Amino acid sequence: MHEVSIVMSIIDIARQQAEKASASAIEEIELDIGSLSGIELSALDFAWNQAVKETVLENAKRTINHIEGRAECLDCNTVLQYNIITTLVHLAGDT
Amino acid sequence: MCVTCGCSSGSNSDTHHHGDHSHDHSHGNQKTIIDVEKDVLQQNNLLAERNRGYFYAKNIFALNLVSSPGSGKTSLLERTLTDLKGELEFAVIEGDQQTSNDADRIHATGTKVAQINTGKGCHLDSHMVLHAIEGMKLKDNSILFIENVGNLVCPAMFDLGEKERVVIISVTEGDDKPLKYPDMFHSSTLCVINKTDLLPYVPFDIEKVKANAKKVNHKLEIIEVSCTSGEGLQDWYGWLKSKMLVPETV
Repeated sequence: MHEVSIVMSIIDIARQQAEKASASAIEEIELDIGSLSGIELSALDFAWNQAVKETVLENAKRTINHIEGRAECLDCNTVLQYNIITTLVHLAGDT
Repeated sequence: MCVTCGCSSGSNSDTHHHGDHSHDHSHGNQKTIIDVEKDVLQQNNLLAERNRGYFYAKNIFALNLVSSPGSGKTSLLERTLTDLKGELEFAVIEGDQQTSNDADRIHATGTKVAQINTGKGCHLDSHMVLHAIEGMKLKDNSILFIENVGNLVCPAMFDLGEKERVVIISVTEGDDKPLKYPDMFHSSTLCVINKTDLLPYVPFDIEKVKANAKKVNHKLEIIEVSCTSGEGLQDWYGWLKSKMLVPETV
C-alpha cells in the first residue's frame, strides 16, 4: 500500500500549488500514471478516497491519463509496447 | 480554442502551458489551470539525493536490503558483521513496522545500529533514513546496511540514496518470485539467494530462479549463500569489499 504515500505526496504538491496561486479550491486534478510506474490504480483509488478528506483535493475531480510503457530496440530503434517488466526480444522485421 | 484543454481564447489572459506548448487565454469564471509537471515522488527523490551526497562525501557504501519477510536479511547481516569484524567498518539501519528486535540482534554483534519503526508504513523512505543518519555519526570509509521493511512490492519505488540495492530471496520461496514481483528485481543490482543448505529438501529450482531473475533484469548479479553452513559467503564478502572504494591517500 505505498499508494497511500503517493497520494499524500500528491496532496502536498497540490496544496503548495494552490497556495502559490492563491486559489481557494482545486476543482480538478489531472494525473499522468504510467503502466510501469508501480502504481496499482485500484489501490490508489482506495487510498485517495480516504486521504483527500479535509484537504484541498477533497472535492476535486480526478482525471487519470494512463501512459503506456514503451521500449526501443537497441538495434533498429523500433519502438515497442512494454507494459510488464520482462525481457523483450525484437527481431528485425517485426513490429 | 486550445485543442488540449478545450477552452476558448479571450481577453483575460492567463499564461497557460501544456507541456510542449503554451499560450494565453481566459477562463471565464476565473479558473486557472496550473501545469505542475512534477514527479509525485519528487520530495522523496530530492532527500534521497541529499543522503547520497552525504554518503559520497564520507565514502560510505550504502546498501538497501530488500526482500519478503523471512528471507534471512537480518541473519545475513549478523553473519556478515561478525565475520568481517575488524576488517571493515559497519553501521546498520533496521526498518520494521514495530519492535526493536532486529536492532537488538545487530547491537549484539557490537555494530552501531538505528531502528526505524514505520508504524503502519510498508516501506522506508529517504526522509526516515535522513533522520536516522542524523543521529548516527557514521564513520568515513564505512559500509551502511539499510534493512528495509520485509515487502517485495512497496520499497521498490522509494530511493533511499543507496549506492546498491540488494534483493534477497531464500530457497523456501517460489522460484517464480522474480516474475511475480518484477519491480524489485528490476530495480536491484545484486540478488542474494539465501538458505542454499535447504536445497535438498525443497522443490526450488535454483537455475530457474536465476533465469527468471535475469528475465526481468539482465544486469542483475547473483550470489548464492547459506548463512547456516557459511557456503558462498566468501563470494558475498568479496562483492562487498570490491565495492568499497579505497580512500585516496593525500
